[in-house]
Amino acid sequence: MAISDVQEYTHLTDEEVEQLGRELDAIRKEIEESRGDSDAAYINRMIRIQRYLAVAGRLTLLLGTQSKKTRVPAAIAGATFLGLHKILENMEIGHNVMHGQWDWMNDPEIHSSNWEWDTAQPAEQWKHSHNYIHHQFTNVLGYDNDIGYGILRMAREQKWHPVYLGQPVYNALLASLFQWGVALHDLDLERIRKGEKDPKEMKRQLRQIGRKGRNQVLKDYVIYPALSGRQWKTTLAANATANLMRNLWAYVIIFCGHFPDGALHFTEEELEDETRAEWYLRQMLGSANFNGGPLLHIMSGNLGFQIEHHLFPDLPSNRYAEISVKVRALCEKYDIPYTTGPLYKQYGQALRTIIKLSLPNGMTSSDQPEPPTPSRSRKRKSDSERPSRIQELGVWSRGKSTERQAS
Amino acid sequence: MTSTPRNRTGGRSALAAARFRGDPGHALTQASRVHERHWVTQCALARICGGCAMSLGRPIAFLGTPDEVARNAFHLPPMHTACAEELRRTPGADPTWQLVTTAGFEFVRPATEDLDREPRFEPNSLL
Repeated sequence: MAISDVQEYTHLTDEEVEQLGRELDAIRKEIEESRGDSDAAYINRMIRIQRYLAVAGRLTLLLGTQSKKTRVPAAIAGATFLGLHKILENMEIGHNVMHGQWDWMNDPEIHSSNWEWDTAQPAEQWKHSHNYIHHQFTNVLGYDNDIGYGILRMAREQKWHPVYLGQPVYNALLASLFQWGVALHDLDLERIRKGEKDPKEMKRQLRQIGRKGRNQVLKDYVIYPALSGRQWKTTLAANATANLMRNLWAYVIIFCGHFPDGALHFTEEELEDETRAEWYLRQMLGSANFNGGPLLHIMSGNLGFQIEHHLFPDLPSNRYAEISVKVRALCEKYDIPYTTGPLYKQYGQALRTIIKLSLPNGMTSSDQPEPPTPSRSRKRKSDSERPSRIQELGVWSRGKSTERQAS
Repeated sequence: MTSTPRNRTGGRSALAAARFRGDPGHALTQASRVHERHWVTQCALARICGGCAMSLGRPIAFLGTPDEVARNAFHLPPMHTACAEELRRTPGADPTWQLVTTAGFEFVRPATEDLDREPRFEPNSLL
């Protein structure tokens, strides 16, 4: 079910939405004013650990594979170290640095302008496809390209086509080759298919992807194996395993962010006119968390706090855990769904959606929960009672933009 | 001869064409859009320069009136320092604009009760 009127769905009054916004603003302000040395120490520690893991992995493969006796355990340990290094670098460091979460430190290296991560997609394209397209138009059908990554049908509102019968296979391929899927993400395959993409821009992006992809391939599959001498095959296999580990992990974490039951899709138009409070509300309803301990959250880039990340994408990720306590309390106070659950359950739901939506709607049923029940104190208003929100609040009223402009 | 560089949005404004001086790093291809809300939002989130549409560098520059500087709330998108300086010299630019540099900024969407109904930038680590 895609939501066309978020306020109606949540049964909140205008004043309640704005009060919710003010309370979220207060949370944001508190973090902004308290961020400092301990936060800087955290990200520096993460980068140190990530680099130690990389060095440990490379040395283990370089030295450990030379002896027949230690070859297999060294290959396993080396691949594991490298996989963990890539996961930590991509999830907790690269993704969050590129959001500008650490720009306030004024560190020449740990800055959204300078960080280039260890994956095939160029940072510049990620900042467009993810920071802008995905975070600004979160879960809005037709806007947010993260809904199915251009190859999967993830919402019942998306028209079914026989090609989607292969969806479970496409999903497995996307998971295994995730870094390459992400690398092509900003190209916007749908616009290319429709002939809407500017060919010059497409060529520029392809050149950028080609350069970055070539460097990644050279690093993982040519240079490091060559440095291993006669054991080049072992190093090459270990590097491929590390990339596969990172691909599968990143895919699972990302699919848990917006596709479990309870994370809603939207159909609004002209979303950039919405107020801050309305934007907050849409982010909360469109995202899903998962539960876990500190290590799980670090290795998932603190995206287990996806709701908090979408509310405050540029606040330091190490603060999301404390923010989540307050956000959850606000959700209870305002009777707004706070979607969370164990990782296996959240991914299981996303996987079930992928499989079910490979079939036409008539053959399956929706798994989305019912909307929140209006509380007794919040009498639902009729259309005639509800004030026009177009001028004051933006665009969450029904009707097309052209109709609004005409009125 | 170098052709006018196009940016990721594929656009090239008349102002940009007029201002292009052959330096691809500082061609103000998108300068005419610095007051457009959609463009401002895109620059803020995608971390691109509002003037040339390429990735921001460090420091990040903002142009603002004395009032905006005093409030630490800017409305023009973030820019490269060179692009901001170039834009300030462009005919038609506000003569009161001051240039401020920062390492980071908060992007603030307008709230209903705000008198200022445009998205704004609040530099958080002035240089």
